[in-house]
Amino acid sequence: MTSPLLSVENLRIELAAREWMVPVVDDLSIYLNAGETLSIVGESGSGKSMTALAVMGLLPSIGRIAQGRILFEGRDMTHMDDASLRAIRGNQISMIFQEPMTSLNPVYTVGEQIAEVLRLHKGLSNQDAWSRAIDLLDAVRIPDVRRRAKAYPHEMSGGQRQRVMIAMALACRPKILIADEPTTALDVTVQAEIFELMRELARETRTATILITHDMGVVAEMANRVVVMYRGEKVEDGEAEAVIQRPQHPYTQTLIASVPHLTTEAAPTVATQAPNTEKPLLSVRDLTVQFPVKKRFGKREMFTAVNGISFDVMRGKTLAIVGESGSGKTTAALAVARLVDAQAGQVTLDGTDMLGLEGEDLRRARAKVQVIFQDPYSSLNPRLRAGDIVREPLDNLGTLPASERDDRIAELFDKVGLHRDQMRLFPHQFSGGQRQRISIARALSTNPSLIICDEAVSALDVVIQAQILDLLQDLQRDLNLTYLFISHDLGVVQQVCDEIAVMYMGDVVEFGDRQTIFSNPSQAYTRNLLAAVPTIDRARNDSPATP
Amino acid sequence: MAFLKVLAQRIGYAVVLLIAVLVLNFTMINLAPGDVVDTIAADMGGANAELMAQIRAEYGLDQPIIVQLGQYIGRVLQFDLGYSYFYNRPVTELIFERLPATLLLVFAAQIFALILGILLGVFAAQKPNGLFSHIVTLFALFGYAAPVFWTGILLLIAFSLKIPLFPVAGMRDVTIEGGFFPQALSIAHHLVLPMLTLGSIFIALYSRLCRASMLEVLGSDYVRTAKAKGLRPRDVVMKHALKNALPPVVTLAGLQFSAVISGAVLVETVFSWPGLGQLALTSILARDTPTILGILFFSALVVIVGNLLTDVVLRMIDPRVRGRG
Amino acid sequence: MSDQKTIKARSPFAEAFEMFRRNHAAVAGLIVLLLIVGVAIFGPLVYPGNPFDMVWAPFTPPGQDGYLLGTDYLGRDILSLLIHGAKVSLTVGLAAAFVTVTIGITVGALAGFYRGWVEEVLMRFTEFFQVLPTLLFSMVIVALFGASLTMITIAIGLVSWPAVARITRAEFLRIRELEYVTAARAGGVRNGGLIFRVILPNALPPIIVQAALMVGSAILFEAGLSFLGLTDPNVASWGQIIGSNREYILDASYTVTVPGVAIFVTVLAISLVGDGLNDALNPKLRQR
Repeated sequence: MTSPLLSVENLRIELAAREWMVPVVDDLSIYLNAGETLSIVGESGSGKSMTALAVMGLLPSIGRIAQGRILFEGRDMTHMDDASLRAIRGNQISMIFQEPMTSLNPVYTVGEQIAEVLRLHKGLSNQDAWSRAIDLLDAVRIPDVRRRAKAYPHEMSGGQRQRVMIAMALACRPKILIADEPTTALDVTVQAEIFELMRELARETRTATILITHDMGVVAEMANRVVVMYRGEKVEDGEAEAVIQRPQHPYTQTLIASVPHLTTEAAPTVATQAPNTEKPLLSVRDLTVQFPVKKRFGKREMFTAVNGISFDVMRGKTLAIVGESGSGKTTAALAVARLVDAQAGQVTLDGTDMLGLEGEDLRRARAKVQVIFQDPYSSLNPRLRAGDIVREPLDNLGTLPASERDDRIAELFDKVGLHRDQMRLFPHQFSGGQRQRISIARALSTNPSLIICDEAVSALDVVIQAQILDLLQDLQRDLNLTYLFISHDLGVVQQVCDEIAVMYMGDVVEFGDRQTIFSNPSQAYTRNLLAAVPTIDRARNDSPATP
Repeated sequence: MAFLKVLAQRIGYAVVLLIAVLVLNFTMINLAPGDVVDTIAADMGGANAELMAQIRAEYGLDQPIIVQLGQYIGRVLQFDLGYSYFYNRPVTELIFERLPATLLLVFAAQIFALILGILLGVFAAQKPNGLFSHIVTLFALFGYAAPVFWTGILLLIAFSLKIPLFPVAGMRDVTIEGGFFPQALSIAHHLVLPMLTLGSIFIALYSRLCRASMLEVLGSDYVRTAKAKGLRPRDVVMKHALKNALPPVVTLAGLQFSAVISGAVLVETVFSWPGLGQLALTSILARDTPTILGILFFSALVVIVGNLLTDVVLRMIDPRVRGRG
Repeated sequence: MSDQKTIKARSPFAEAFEMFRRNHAAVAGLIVLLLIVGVAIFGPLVYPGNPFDMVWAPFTPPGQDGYLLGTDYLGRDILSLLIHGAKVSLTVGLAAAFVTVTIGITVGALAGFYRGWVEEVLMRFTEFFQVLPTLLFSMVIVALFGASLTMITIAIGLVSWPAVARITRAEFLRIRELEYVTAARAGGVRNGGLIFRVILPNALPPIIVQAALMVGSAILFEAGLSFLGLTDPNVASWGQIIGSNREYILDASYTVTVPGVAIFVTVLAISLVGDGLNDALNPKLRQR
């Protein structure tokens, strides 16, 4: 047996916190063989990105390798001088990062940024480097390359920027490519394209890949082997297929449970019920939302975010609106809540014509619709105590006498699984999951008819996500709540919704119950969307490159 | 082409701003107790009511206020800023005589402060907790806290009186004869201390911001990308980081033009630099209103031109600004 | 985290105070500042006498004949002048900063909250004020409308507010897009409540820092005006001492250097406090 291309032995990484060093990776050993794809899976803070940065020799200044070795082709990189490290970086081992929006230098053209690596490591002349850069951009399928090579990063979409990053990383035909959550910031259809490209290029160039992700579906579709990390330690590793089939560690099991199942849909509960004849709680007809966009030289144009959509939601049910970024799903929901102005259409909620309300009437009607937002950090006012955050709607909208509000708040804290003593704390003293619980308590405070969950669990790690989804479902059962659930994550949608509206560029392209949408979608866009979702239970049409 | 269009737009906007300055000037003349005629009358040692009414009519002061405003703006557009009774000369003439000295001082100090401030900031950011970084931070604090006229006097005492390296006052040695070079050299020699004095405040400001901006950029994702490419630390800093750290500093410098001119008034007073600032002070003490307002107008013009220049420089550095109107 | 019950509630401001307390330079600045305030308030009682009285021979060097800081060109006691000047500097500094912040917050908050034509008009107005060289403009105001301390304060406030307005507007623009503001709106909070109770408290940190620095720059400003002689001649002020003794630096440089030190130390102390506030209130430096 030949020795592996890269091996990490007993690695311990520490970060400086106030007065002491905290280990973020401990006793980690992994190896990577030539040409294979190894996936490192874990949640944020599990140490997976730190491991990647340590291999690159790019740990932040507050971090250090406290123990262990990183051997690349038998040479210990932890004891290498800077010049030798630089000769490896970007040449033999290269890396692509999570944020395509910020990872490219905004003041240089993308062509120049690729040509730079070639001049540096391959000693190419300006002209040769540039024409090679154009070839590379062509290989990652940037259209109209000769012109686009002279574009600046801000003139490209997120997906295109990530393609540029890939071109840059592969420019010198490295032996190892490290990809740190390369598609997390991208839409699922773009993600599928990027992965397709990575697979193809890796196979062509026989580059070994370390793919860092939090998504077991991605592992199933991309990796030969997998290492599962939890709180800085390796908790499980093995052949990807074996780990997915027989996960040992409870954390791995949770990760696998969160991946959507696209073909094994159980019989939905809706179908067994008698056809619903009661009036819908929420009825939306021809809703249109437009924004003025400032064009150059002061000319104004209207951008249509939501293009005359219609849907109904029954009391006690959950309607999910799914779509990619820019589909208009959040705008539509916020227009229903009158938090964004609609240009046309009709929204009837519990018998009230929502779009017709103005002034004080509108303000009072807000009690009927409450929103749970995406970002657990920015959705709570940092200057208010948790109890006062929940109190805000009660003070402004509630019919409850002031004397009973304290009891009501305490009761809400119980309901969402927070301790009553925590009412006095400020938002920054809570974890992300706890903050979402405060948001839920706030949304419940006015006894709303409709609760809009705007990507309410998207910012949470998988384990916490599962807890919050459970809470939402328990509350729905207990209180007969109605949810309008906005999400891009089909795995999440599958767990919570009764019906689904699929939005694409401002239109609802498909509407139906969960089972129909997941197992038998009628529209091409829905099929593409579903096909793009990484899953563990679909026969791979394109298995990972075998070494 | 888009650039020219934007530039034309900016210039148009600048003209609007200048007219606004004129309206403000006019308002202040009318709000202030007493008018030109009172001043003239006082200069003449008193005049009877009939004569004063005659002068008022002569200056159009008996017209409705809006007509007066129109006439005022009309006159200024023909480069007529009025007549200084104190100096007995047209204000425009007075100002054009003094303007070059002020422009020289303002732009020299601004450029000097920018270059030095950026250099200090960049080096300080390399080791944010190092000795040099602390010295720059301390210098920035001192530069901001020291009153500029006091700094000037201290420099004057140290480098003109105690160690006579530089001249005490003025802009050039009138005894020097000869061509362009000896003259220019003399002016440069006189310029050193005023430029250092005026620059000191702004070096402090720019180095501080540049250090902060550089630190932020050095922590950015694209600098990490640059390092991941295997670039040398020097290229990472000078090629990838610096160009991104500059825009906030240039923007700040653009906003400082008005402060630089304000500082120049004090510095000119300390070093008897024959610029607009000195003229402003003497005409204020002499209550020579047309001259004062003329100076205000011209200094606003300098600020506006400075802002336009800043805009052009920003567009050269940052491609993201170029697309905007 | 596991034992949340025992965690004490810590408001963001309490944490900021803790951060500030640990910043030695800022605490030192604060102590010096308090000392100067003490001198301004109690100094005239402890060290009585009219500062404009000619008490001794002109140009008596510091320490000689019982005059700790010497006498100026008219034989006035420089120490007495400095003590009385402290009150003027601090009062004008604080009052002008107050005017600045009041105008700045009003303009910035309205522009940032309402956007649209309100913002357009207010920001053009702000830009217009930024085009006028601050010192020249205030010189003109003082020259035309009289050199009283009130007029000087108003003039300084009137030329300095654009910086505060810009910062306030930027903060409002940022914060109004945050989800907790939308949540407050969904919770039925009225516009007034959104501006004053939801957005403004969260926008305050950078404004507080700017306000602190404004006090310093207003003091420098007042010193500059009085150095040029544009001040109430019947009130002792630090800049004025320097301005009036300027011609005698060859004979008695202390008449200029000593009052300058007073200005320098005061503004330095304020800057240190401002920097301390900045570090303490800057959310970037704390974990989210």
